[in-house]
Formats: sequence, C-alpha cells, structure tokens
Amino acid sequence: MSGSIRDTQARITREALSGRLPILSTERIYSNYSSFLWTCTTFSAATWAFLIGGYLPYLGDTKISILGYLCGMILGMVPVTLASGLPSYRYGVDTIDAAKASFGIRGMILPLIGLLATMVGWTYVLVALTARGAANIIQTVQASADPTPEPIVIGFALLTLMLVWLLASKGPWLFEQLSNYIAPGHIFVTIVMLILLLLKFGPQTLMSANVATDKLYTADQVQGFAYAVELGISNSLTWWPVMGGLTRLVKSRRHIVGPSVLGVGVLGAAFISSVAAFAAVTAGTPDPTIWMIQLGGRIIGTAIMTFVLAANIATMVIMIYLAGVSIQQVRFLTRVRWDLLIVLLLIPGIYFAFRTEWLLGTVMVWLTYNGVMFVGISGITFVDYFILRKQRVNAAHLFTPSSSGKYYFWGGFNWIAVVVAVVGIALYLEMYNPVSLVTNDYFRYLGAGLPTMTLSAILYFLLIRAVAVPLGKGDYAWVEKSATTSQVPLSSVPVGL
Amino acid sequence: MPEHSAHISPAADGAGSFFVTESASELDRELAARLSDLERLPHSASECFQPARSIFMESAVWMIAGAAIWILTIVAMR
Repeated sequence: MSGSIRDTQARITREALSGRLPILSTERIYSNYSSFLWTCTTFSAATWAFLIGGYLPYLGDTKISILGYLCGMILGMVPVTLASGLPSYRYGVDTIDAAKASFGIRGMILPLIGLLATMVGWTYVLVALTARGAANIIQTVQASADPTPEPIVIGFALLTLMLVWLLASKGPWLFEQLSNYIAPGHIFVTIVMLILLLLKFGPQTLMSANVATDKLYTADQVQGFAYAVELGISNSLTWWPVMGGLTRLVKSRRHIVGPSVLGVGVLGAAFISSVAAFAAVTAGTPDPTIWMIQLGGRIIGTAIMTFVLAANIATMVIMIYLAGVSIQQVRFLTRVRWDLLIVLLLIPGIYFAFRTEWLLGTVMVWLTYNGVMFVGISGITFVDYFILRKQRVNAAHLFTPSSSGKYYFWGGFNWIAVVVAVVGIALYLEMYNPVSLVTNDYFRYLGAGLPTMTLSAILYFLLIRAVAVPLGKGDYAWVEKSATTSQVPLSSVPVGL
Repeated sequence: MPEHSAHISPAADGAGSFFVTESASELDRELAARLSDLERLPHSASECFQPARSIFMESAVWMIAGAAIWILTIVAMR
C-alpha cells in the first residue's frame, strides 16, 4: 500500500471518528473491557459525583440513601444503555442519527436539543465548579479567611476552557488513553478517602452517621429511599445522549452493558457518591471542597482536591467530543474543521467564565430537570429498535434527507414520537417534581422514571401500530420483509450528511 | 458507486481551506461507501451483527440485582 493511500485512509478514519460517518468494526478504538470501563468511569466520576454524594444523607438514613442511589443507577443504566447504545453499536452511527429511525429525519431535532443542552450545559457547569474549586484550594493553601479574588476564578475558568479545547481537538483517541490513568486514579483516591474516614471515625460510627432529623427532606424512610432511587434513575437518564456516541467506538458486544453499568453506574457514580455521603455527613457539610480538606488535612486534602478537579477536564473533553459529533447534524458544520467546531461549542463558555457563581446558582436548577427530558425518549427508542424494528434499521435511510427516505414520516417528523416524548415529560412531572420533591401516591414504591419510561414505550408502540403502520409510514413493514430478502440496494438510495 | 443526494453539489470552495476539511461531495461519497461496507465483510461478520442474546442475559442479571436491592431494602425497613 502506498504512503498516499495510507494517509488518505488514516484521514478518513479521523474524519469518521470526529464526525458522523458510520464507524466500521475494524476502526473502533475500544477493543477490551477495561478500556471502555475506564472511559465510562472517568466520564461519570466528575465533581458532580461528590456533590450528589453530599446530598444523599439529606434524603434520610445515609446507608439506605446510598443503597437507593446504587439501585437507581443500575436500574436506570440498563435500559438507557440498551436504548441508546445498541443501535449505535451495530451500525456505528451517532445517537442522534440512530434516533432518526424513531423520531424522523427532522424530528431528531428534539433529542438533539436535549443532547446539546446536556453535553454543553454540563460542560459549562463543570468549568464553573472546577474554577471555583481551584479558588478554594488557593484559599486553603494560603490559610486565608478571605475568598480568592474573582479575577483568579475567571482565569481558572478560561484556562479550563483552553485545556478542554486542546484535548478535545485531538479526537477520541486521547481521552481513551487518558481514561486508563484517570479512572483508576479516581478509584484509588476514593479508596484513600474511605480509609481516612474509617481510621478517623471507625466503621460503626460511620455506618450510623446521619443528618439531624430536622434537616432531612423527609422523615419517612421509605419515601427517602424512593427519592434516592429516583435520583439514581434520573441521573442514568441523562446518559441517553451519551451512550450511543461511546458504543459506536466499541468493538465487542461483550463490552457494552457491563462497562456501562459498572463504570457509569457503580464505580463512577454510586461508589464515589457513597464515600462522599459518609464524608459529608461526618463533616457536617455537603461541600466537597470543605470536607476533603477537613478529612485529608491541608496537604493530602489539597492533593486529592487538585486531582479531582483536574480529572474534571477529562469529563468535559468527552462531553464536548460527543456534542461536536452530534452538532454536525447541522449540515454546514459537517465540513467545519474539528478543532474549529470545538471552538464554536466552547465560545459561549467564555461568557459563563465571568459569571460562574450565577451559573451554579441558576442553571443548576434548570439542569435538575435534565433527566426528565430523556424519560420518554428512552422508552421510545427502546421499543422502536427492539420491538417494532426487531433490531433492524435501514442505515442508508438514516442519511436520506429527502421525502424518498424511509424515515421521513410526516414532513421529516414522526409526530407520534414527538408527542409521546412530551407526554412522557408531563407524566414524569405529575408523578414527581425533582425541585419541589412533590410526589404522587405511587412514587414511594415505584418511583417515577421507570413507570414513565414503560408507559411511554407502551403508548408509542400502540400508536405506531394503530397509525404509522397502516399508513405505511416509517418503513415498519420492511422489518418483516428484510428477514427473508436482502436489504434495499444502496444504489437506489440518495444519501448525504 | 452509490448515488449521492441530489441536493449536494461538489463544493469547489471547501477542500483544504482554513475553515473546512472536505468538500460536501467527498464526504457524501465516503458516507455512501461506508453504508455499503456496513452490509459487507468484515463488518457484516463482526460481533456488531451477532445476535444480542448475551447482551440481554447480562442486562437481565443487572436488572435482577437492582430490583433485589430495591425490594430487600424496603422489606428490611418494615
């Protein structure tokens, strides 16, 4: 093979990995269990895991809240991984391209907005958390009573954005490599914190440590457990826009579910949050920048805090990578250079770098509703791919933007999916409001996320069978035919990014 | 070689400039080739197109573990 052909193939692979081109099995970068496990762990184990951990003791008994959160993460991550991850794994396409089979070639705008809000919104929040955390470290090192001046916080935020751009510009290879060190480091640091807690308080004191009753959100233990389960499920739902973007980079089907549930749900979220919960309840504050220093002392505590903040960079890089791939649904952006595309996504972050306190105070409330956006979408994409389409999608038609495409539905929109997704949000909020914590009667035993996901899936299934199939919309009949006949010849399908 | 979208015209403005990487037609050609490759060896014989039974089994084990934690904790609280 000549050098120029090799160069061309390498460039095309680069384009595929940092773009929307389907990634073939031979090009995928996650070839073993541990490499994907560590990326999932790195992604999940950002500062938010410590913040959530600090919040858990306020839901009731600390141990029971930890169990509830673990349970919610597991029960949420499985359907989310299947719904978002499996179509992308099979066809090598991004989550949003895969979602066109259910939402329509233009209707994918709904999950796309959710994806960008999640990825870009959380990146800016993480920039603010990192900058303010770094400022707290300086204050601790200087043993100063005065907070670090705001210009230094802004400087840290801008520096963080710059680092994210530098690393994300390199594509997914770099975070695949970095994750192999950051995730084990995160687990090691968390184990060190657990050992410090056990040495300082002893296992019995630790296991019985609880927040004062008057500070709890509820005195009802079962209700508190249900809140914790729902927190886990709601957190899992925010992974719908993520999993497909990652599983299209995985080689083996044995490395899909285990690393996703174990890395995202158990190690990156539940384990870290449980140690954070014990640390927060014994320190009397949910703020990790305070209890880490209290627990480890000025030297070890500062070192741990520095590592945790630095590790946030890797999480932001993965989020911006996924947002960069998905935003190329905007046709012009498919041709913009990858590093410039990352700049476009990060530019609004400069504005937020000057308003980190406002961002954490205001946007966090809005992001509390983040998981709700994907509750109906998860149910819809699950039932569409596994039940209605029997895991067979006509990949070429995901890239056919004209009315000749099989997933054109009604003007490019599958209105059934759009309506069911919105109904799913309303239904969820009827069962549980994550801000006011108001719930209905069934919540204490069923939660809200799983029943809503199930009801959305059933409603979508019935409406597709009753409306779309008889009208010949969405190519559901092809699934039956394709079991015996070959695929529609590609030569008859006009495709474009 | 598969056809490309009728809406796409090869862009003379794009290739190699500072802002863009490829011309639209070049990317669409590559897309069509890749979509075709999805149906051919080696991708069609890869694990991607193997039955998902083992994935469902693994998922079921995780779901049972999650449900067991849920039920046992509620029972223990009574």
